[in-house]
Amino acid sequence: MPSVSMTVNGNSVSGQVENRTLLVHFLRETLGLTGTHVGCDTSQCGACCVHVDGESIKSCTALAVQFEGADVTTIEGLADGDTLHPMQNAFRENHGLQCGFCTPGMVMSAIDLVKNNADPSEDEIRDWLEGNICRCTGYHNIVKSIKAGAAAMKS
Amino acid sequence: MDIGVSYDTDGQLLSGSYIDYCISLIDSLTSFEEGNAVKRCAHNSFGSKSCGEVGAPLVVTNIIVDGLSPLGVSGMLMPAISSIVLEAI
Repeated sequence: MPSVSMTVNGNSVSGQVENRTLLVHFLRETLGLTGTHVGCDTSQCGACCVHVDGESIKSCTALAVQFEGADVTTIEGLADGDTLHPMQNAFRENHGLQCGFCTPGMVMSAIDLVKNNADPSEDEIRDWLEGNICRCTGYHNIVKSIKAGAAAMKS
Repeated sequence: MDIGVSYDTDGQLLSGSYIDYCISLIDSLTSFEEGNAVKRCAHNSFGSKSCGEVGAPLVVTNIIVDGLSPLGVSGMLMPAISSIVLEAI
């Protein structure tokens, strides 16, 4: 089996993986970072969003061996100790979740949006999140959370 | 995209993924104003009307039925897809 090395949440990690091992399974099963979820396994739902070299990707559509040497950030890598990332905190304060299953992907995707667009309108948020599904249909508060998170990330 | 769970005649599930099953996406609904209209239920000591999250589709369906009541509609199956609404009328 090939080995793969990358930086995940600031730590150098490596592991033996099968060629077919998906990035999300490497994160969850080899590294034990189960905050990244597998919702659909078909790249529809976005629960598996992580950042690779600063851009959000769906980690269920990527092979782990593709990311030799990459810099990966998962939902576990956002908080600074007990201090939540502003976007995480915005989801918490605006009740941007119901069951919470889609939340890691929503937060990771939202942060990438704000990196590209510091002050997104509601339409731009909805357009960006077309690839993230909330089965609770809690989109209303998710949009509110992202607006608040974007404002918090500015300050 | 399909509404609800569907099978073919051999029993093969046709709506097994989010490609085929019509799930609510973020552009399915616009933003809305939120508010509470608090009124205790008179029929139990807790004053509660329901719990869990299945209330909303019922409320929406009741609104549709109410709107169609001049046409003689007194009830309707869910989900409120066009063919079911048309049948109710």
